[in-house]
Amino acid sequence: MTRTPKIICTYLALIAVSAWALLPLAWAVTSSLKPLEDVYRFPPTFTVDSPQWQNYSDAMTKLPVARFLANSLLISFVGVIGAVFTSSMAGFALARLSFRGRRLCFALVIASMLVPSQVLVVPRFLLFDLLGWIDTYKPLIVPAWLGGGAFNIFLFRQFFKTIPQQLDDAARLDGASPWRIYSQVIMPIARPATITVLLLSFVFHWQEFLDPLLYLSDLEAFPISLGLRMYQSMAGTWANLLMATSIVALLPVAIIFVVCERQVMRGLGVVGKPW
Amino acid sequence: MTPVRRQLCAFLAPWGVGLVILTAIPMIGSLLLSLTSWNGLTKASQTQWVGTANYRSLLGLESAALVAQDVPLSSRLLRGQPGDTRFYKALSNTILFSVVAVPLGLLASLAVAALLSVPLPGARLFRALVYLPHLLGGVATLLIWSWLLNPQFGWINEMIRCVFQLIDPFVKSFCGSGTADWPVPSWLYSPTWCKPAIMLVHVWTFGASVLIFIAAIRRIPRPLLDAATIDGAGPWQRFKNIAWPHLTPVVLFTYIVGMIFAMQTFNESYLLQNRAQQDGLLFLATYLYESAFSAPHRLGYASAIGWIMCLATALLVLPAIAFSRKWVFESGGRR
Amino acid sequence: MGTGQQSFDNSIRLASRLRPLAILVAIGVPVVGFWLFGDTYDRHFGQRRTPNVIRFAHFGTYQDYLLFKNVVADFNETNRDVRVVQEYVAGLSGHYRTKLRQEALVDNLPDVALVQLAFFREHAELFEDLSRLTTETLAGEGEPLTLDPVGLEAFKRNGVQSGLPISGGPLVIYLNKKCFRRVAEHTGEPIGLPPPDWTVSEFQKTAEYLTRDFDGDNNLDQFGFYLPRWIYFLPFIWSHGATITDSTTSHWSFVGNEAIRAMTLYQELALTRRATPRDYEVAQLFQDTAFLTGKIGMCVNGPWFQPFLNETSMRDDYLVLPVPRSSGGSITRVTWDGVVVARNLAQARRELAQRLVRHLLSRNVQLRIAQTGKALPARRDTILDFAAAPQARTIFVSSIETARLDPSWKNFRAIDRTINAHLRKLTSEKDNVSPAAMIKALASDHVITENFAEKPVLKP
Repeated sequence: MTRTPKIICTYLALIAVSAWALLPLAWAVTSSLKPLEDVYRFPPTFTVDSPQWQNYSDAMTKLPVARFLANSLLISFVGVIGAVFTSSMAGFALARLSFRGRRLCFALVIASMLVPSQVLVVPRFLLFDLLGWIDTYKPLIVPAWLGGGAFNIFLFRQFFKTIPQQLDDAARLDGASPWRIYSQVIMPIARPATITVLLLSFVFHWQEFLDPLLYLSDLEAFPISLGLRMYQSMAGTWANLLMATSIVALLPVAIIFVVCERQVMRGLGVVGKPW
Repeated sequence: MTPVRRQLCAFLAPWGVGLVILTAIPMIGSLLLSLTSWNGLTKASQTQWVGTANYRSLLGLESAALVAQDVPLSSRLLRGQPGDTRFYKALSNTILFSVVAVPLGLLASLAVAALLSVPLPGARLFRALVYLPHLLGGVATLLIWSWLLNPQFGWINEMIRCVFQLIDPFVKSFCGSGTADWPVPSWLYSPTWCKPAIMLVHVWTFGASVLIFIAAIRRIPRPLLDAATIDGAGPWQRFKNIAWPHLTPVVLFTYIVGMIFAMQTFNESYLLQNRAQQDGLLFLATYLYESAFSAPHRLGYASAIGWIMCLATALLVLPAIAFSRKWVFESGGRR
Repeated sequence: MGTGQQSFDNSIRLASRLRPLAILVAIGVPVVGFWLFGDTYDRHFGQRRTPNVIRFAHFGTYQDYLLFKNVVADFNETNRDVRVVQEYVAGLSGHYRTKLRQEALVDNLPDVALVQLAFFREHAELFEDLSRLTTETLAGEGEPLTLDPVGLEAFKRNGVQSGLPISGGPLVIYLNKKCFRRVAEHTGEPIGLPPPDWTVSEFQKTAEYLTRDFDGDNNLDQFGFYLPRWIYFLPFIWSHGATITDSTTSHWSFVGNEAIRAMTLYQELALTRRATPRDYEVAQLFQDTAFLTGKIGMCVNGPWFQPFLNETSMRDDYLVLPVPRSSGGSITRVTWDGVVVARNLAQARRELAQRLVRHLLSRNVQLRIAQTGKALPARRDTILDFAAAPQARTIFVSSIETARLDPSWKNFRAIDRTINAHLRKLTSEKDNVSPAAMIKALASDHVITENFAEKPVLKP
């Protein structure tokens, strides 16, 4: 029976931590329902007196938000497929195939994380201009198809390492090629890793801001991350509409997360294993 | 053998092409660039090869007047006259931030992970809630934080004021004067408070490492812990002798990744900067960006900052890896 | 024989298994290849280089986007031999500058672009000489084009007219009527709104009147004035008869009694009388939202503030006044946006680009810009169509007549930082620096002495 106070304490601590985690979200929700003047009221209120639901319809009509969301979905969808596909392939090679220079390749994966992305802005712009890719989605999508990010490769490698080697060996005895082992033996088991990478790279594409800014100049093609910026103008920020749109923009991420939460927990869990 | 080799190439090709085209060539380009005075607009023929001048003027190895006076570098640094004071400010801000925020995040996520690994009904929900910030961290969330941390109408300070009011009677009875005139922090609007503020924001997105720690805690063999309990080991001893060794690989990993990301922190400082901070949030990545993209557009100089940034990160990360054999416990052993 | 048969069978089986894959590859590779590199071909040999496609870039709000979308559509309608492509950068102007720089870097600037003055000053050498357009009569209009002289001067660099002004915004003082009412209710001593020809001392009195702690908690709830960055304080400095640098911008001239008087005003507002908020007291409330919420009673802002206010509950609750008069008169600061044409375009392309510039400066388009109420049009004959309340319009129009441009310095950022650092000392209780001492310290700061000629030019 001495356990009861302990459990209560644990719950209290957990509630405190979750409240802390949800604080910005709570602020966003309340602000999105306030008139603009009330967002800046002092002393601040934690509640909304009369929710301004029309903020949401205003936010959706003041800018072509639906269009931005559709664009974002398209970019993220194509990018995510590439990221999952190519990073799992690289991860597979690093975890499952033995070849000379494997350690070097792995070291390169880790080392490429060290490069500050701001250094790459100018050279990449030169490259994409040379390719004539300015004002297309290619600078946003194609990099995802070329390795899909060092962290994702690492995550796949770690996950593949947890799968028993015997499976490969058995398949190999049956005459299966590495490609078949990858596509028919390993990948079907690696769902948690796949879904984790899917979620992480979706979020990455969804929030990417600087690249779309540099590479897109047709408003009809803007993703939502650029659209959010349009509530800030020289004259003032529509904080309430910005928050309403932000919440609408967060929904897809939240939905995906809720659906595959269990897999993500398993997928992320493996990255801390000894390498 | 050959077809396997061919397949191997196919597996690594996308990543390899990406590495070469999108990272390696730009990096080499930036290394060459850091040795020139290019501002991005003059034609290549007018660009000067300046050797290590960018690095020297960054680090203060060459402040014309001081070199003429023959003042040694060490005393120049001590006198606070290094070459580019803002660079040193950025460097120290970045390192201070990383060295404090990363271990802080580690501790916090370890503690929360320990809480969450207690098998309780509803633990899954809490786990999801704690992880959520990791997905929401973006430009919009940073803006929200700047509102939350607002000295006047931000919720954080309002909560602090509430707490002050609550403890007012107690303070009055002990110290005589109440809490009425206790100041609340001005967070992002003060040169000193802006650093804790940004660490707070940074630690908030610790959800991923919490999950990693939960998984690691689950991998600790229960029988070992139970046996230790039977042998009469206290909670601290069980943690130190059994749990901690099993957690060290995760600690190492989270430290490395956390350090790399912390040293490259850009959005937090770029979006939350204001003049009241007096460069208190000037980070290397922001200074790099500023040097490259605002007048007088010193692209070579910016590249030099980028390389120093890489070097500094490596200096913070590599020792941890090099000495990992000493303190990281490998149960499975590596292949 | 048997093994041969078997291997044949095997290869048949393999072939049949591989067929879908082969078909996929046969279709996929060309499709993906075309998708990837079709644009590459275009970039170097195709469409984008053809002379009848003109790229027109601009920045601003969604309303600006819609405005220029219509302007471009009109142009495309009447000019069937050209197609103008609109390129728009969202968000703040800093993003736009970054993007234009990137494009300049790869020698792929838009053919025609709207730019802010600050960007133009840094990059004037990238743009075509447009002086021909100002002297010629505009197509279809009998009279010569008369543009604002200060605006024209702004886009002149080394004597060359490398850009033309499109629209400008003079700074004026906005007054929040709600704040006046609040004080009147609180104290029972209403004062009338100041007259349009007000003086600095009237301004200062009004600022102090508006500064109040309504609930008596020792925290000021309403401030008289939002003391802006020094660059927004320039109108006050100029109106006191002081200048920062001389007309050649090579000598530091922020010395003497006029300068001391201007800085005394600054110090009194910020420190002695506390009529302006400290940074942390209006954190996050940029002056727009601070004004909107009644936290401050007056602020300096440009015409672009009007459309924002008109969409809020402030619509009929604000007043516009000119910069208050002082010993130097009432002089304000103006910022100009201009249009530029990329340099080194092929002859045919240049003609088309200039045709678009003419369109942007045509009466019709300038009228539309005036009607947004965001900025005054550069064309003098449309200036009275500027959308504002009649009282405000008079003030905007007369302000732009006496307005000056902000100084153009090569090392602007470093100088800006230095001036701010000295202003901070002027307004901090701890340092207790007098205006005269601050001006002296600023003039001898190494950043200033390094960037300007040694001996300041003394005024007679």
